[in-house]
Amino acid sequence: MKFCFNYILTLFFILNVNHVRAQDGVSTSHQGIFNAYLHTQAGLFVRDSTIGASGTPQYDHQLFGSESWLAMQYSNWGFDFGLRVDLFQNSNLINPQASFNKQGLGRWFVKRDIEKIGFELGYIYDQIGSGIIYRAYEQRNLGLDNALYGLKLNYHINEDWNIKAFSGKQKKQFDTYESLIKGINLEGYIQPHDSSKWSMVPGLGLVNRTLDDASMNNVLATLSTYQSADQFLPKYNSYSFTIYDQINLGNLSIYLESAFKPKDIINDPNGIRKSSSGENIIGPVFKNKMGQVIYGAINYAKSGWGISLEGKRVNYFSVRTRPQEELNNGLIHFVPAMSRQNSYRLLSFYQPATQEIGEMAFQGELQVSPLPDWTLLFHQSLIDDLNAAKLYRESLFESSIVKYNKYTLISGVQLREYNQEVYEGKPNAPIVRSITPYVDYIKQLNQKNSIRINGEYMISRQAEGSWMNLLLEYSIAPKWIFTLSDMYNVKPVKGDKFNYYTGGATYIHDANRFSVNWVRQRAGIVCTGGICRYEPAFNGIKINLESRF
Amino acid sequence: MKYFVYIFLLAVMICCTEVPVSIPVSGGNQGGSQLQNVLIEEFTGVRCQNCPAGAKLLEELKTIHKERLVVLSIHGGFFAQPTNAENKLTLDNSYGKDLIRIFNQPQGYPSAIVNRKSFDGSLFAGGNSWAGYINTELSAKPTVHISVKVNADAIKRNIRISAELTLLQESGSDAHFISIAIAENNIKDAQLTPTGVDVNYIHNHVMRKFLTPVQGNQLTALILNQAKILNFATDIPSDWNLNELYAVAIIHKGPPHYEIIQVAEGK
Repeated sequence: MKFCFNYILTLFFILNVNHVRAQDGVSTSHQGIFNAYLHTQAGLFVRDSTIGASGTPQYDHQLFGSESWLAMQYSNWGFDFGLRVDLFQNSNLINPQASFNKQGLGRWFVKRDIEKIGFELGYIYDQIGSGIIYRAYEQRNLGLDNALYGLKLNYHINEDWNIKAFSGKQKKQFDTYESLIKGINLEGYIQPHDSSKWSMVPGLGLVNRTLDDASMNNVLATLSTYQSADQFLPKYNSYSFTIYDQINLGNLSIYLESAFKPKDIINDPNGIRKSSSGENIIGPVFKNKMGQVIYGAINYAKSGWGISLEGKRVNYFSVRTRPQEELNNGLIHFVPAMSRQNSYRLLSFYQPATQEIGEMAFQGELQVSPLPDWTLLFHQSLIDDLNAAKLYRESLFESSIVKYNKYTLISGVQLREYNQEVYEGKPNAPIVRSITPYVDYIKQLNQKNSIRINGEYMISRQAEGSWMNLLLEYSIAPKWIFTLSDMYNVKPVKGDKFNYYTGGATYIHDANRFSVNWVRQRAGIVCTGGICRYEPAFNGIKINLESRF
Repeated sequence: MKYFVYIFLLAVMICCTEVPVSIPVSGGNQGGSQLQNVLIEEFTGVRCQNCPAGAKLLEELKTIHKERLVVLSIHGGFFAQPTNAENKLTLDNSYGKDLIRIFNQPQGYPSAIVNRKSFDGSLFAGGNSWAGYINTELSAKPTVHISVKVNADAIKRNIRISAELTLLQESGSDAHFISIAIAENNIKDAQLTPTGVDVNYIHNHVMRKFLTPVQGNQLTALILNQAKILNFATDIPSDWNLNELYAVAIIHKGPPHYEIIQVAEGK
């Protein structure tokens, strides 16, 4: 890896010399484009055991932790070259309870399209359809980097149809999982003629995962401890198929996808099996199950209003590099979440993660603009398990008034029900019911200065009780943003009341953004796109730098 | 275009046949003085609802591998404190905290370290991997033999532990360290389970104490095929059940991972 890293850096250096020469006019035949993106996030950890900000290496003795990524890309001669250096220094991003210390080459790739054929070699991000059977992606705030380390080939059959095939191993920080992942995807574009009102983008996909010997032997050893009624013969190869179509008809668009997986080993985290003494063991159990996902989305937009509807049914659908992987590790696929991506803090307090074992979910959103500067929004989410037990409900009503160069006023209320027992694994915990009114007001004081006030109040008698959040933000465009906020558990169900305050400043200069904040943050579950993880409490200083050049 | 669809569908149809595997028969690992034993250190907590399933799995594995599998349940970390309101005992201790400081806290509970080795890039493994990693380690050739004898004095409430070590083969220049731990079975106290808090839950293999630093004491060089006897003694608090205690002698490497060379238990 070190050799490879040095070699690629040397290559970059040579390429950049050529690039500089080209700019100096020594050679004008190859005009390359170089761009880079630096992202650093660092934390100074200040121990505060009253809120649980303690007991990890960062609080106990390391006191500092950071993550940095420097991604560079150079394009020339029809090639794209990419390189990313990742640095994890006393980082709690991968495992919030631990410290991860490694730095090195996080990604490299070489990409080229030559007429009908294209290829990409290295660490590849890609997906098939909506990602239900295959999605190699990065989600930094959740510590996910599921790039495929391998080769992807594209063949443009004609101007409307494309076929791609790939094979490789999934990235695991600075290493890879041993299982081999292969896939093929045929995707096209159909429009009867140029003036036709309808068009569609159909596709077919297949992903195959071949378990490595060590993982298979491990599965077999585990199955050998099961009673014969719970045993099954696993297979090295698992297959996931998908068929999808995006249909566009004027203002209407419809997306349908159906994915299927023949019998394969799946880890049921709440499975039941018999012990040798005949009693039931409830916990993670390997099962041999067929899997299925049906997903659909309809969007319709017209002047003054728009509607979107989504639905999905998931039944034993887990595609991972190896069945032993748990939590967010080794995920090859991504099943879209069926809840609203809320940006306000209390609205996103309880978020549902996609349930691989089974769920039935719908969500719909209606937007109406009675006046040019006034928009009303209604959102509804419903998620049940396959036995119709309630998992999640969200109803949200929101009004937005935007008076250009004067003010923006967003106000609304969210009603939510959240099955804590399922999503947080808390036995016998009641369904959390909450009502959260909120308001967000931005007043444009003049051309440069604006002030923002955001208030939320969550009323709940379950779980963590009632909370309020107040945020004040003062912006001096285009350079500065100053923020003060406080989250306070007004009526906790048990325990003490705490203020979780944040104060800091953000400086923006061209494509650079630097922020420093004192943060006191509660522990909680953080979800993005249906994937969640436990985020421990934080107390200390957070520094963030983003720079594009 | 249609040919591509045909090829695609054909590939799907012909790609799904493979020679079936077979499940190995468990057990057959009993006894033997020259065999490699395995230490599994399970990280658990009274507020971890999935930990009883992990504990049952450990019992199954213990039944299969008998004395060749040595179990230590380390109560510590996020799921151990604070305890449930129903708990009367404190099962976590400073030794567990030290182990967490050395090995970090696992991402999820229950997790275990098998012979303090990394498998598939991770030191910690979930329950569904334990059996396989244990099998892998059991098949290794041992370099050290340990025999553990325990003498308990119920009146003075102390125990004396004697560990006899024999180097079976030279294994490079790595220094040997010894750690001695005491664990207790059959402790009744509350535990969160998938159906709620069970106040009559029986905790087994609870690591109570290390008689050495958890990092171990470095040994002077062992001589091939020559037995070396080390003695340890400690007082036993009144609330520990002397009849349910057992001692664990661990020979391991030094930092950073303290990989296990051999382990044995004695009662």
